[in-house]
Amino acid sequence: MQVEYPAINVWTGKDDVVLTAELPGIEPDDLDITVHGTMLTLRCSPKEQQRGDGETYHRRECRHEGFARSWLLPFEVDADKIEAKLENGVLRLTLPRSEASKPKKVEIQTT
Amino acid sequence: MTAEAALAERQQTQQGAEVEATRSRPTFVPCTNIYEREDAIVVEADMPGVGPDSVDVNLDGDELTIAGQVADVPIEGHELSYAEYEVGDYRCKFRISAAIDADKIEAAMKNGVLHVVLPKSEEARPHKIEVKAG
Repeated sequence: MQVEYPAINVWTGKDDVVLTAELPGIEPDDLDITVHGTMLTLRCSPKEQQRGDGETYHRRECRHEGFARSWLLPFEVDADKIEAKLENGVLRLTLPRSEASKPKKVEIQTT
Repeated sequence: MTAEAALAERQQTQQGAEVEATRSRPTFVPCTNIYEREDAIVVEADMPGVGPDSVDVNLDGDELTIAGQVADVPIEGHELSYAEYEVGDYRCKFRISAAIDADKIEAAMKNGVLHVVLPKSEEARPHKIEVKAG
């Protein structure tokens, strides 16, 4: 099965999920991260690659082109507290669960 | 998100074919672009997770070796619940066909992409011969 680009890993914590993705060659400014409800979208606009005359490819395996990929998150996130870090071509997105979506403990009344 | 996922396809370096790594995590062959200019050969390798300090570029004769180590920091208090890719180091070897001026090789690491410029030596560059009218 072909994995859509970019491939992601998801880490689950008590009150948040952390999503990591390998995005080599992408500048922070090129990346667009949006959350709408429980829908998370990562988008990157294609970049024009400038290649001069007299350059010939011996091999071409890397794709540094545009993409868009969306996921449905298992819960609503607190959009203001989302943290995104892009370091050495790896994105780390911390998505904290919103207060409203956290499970509520129900106290049992004793009579 | 479901728990089952196919891992992104990646070419692993062959075990036993070379010297084995001391660490048990996988080693991948990075995706590379190689192109030739009139004055140089340029190698670009995707090595996400590799910092500028943990990459090694070596030219031995006509053999170029690229190796990068990933700083894999576990996310504390979190459990990996869904995985589409594996984290590992990178290693690859290429035979460079043109004669290279080894002293002038430049390598830079940016956003997880290694960029190596291997300038051709004077003898290997194309020389234009002027044709005189006579």
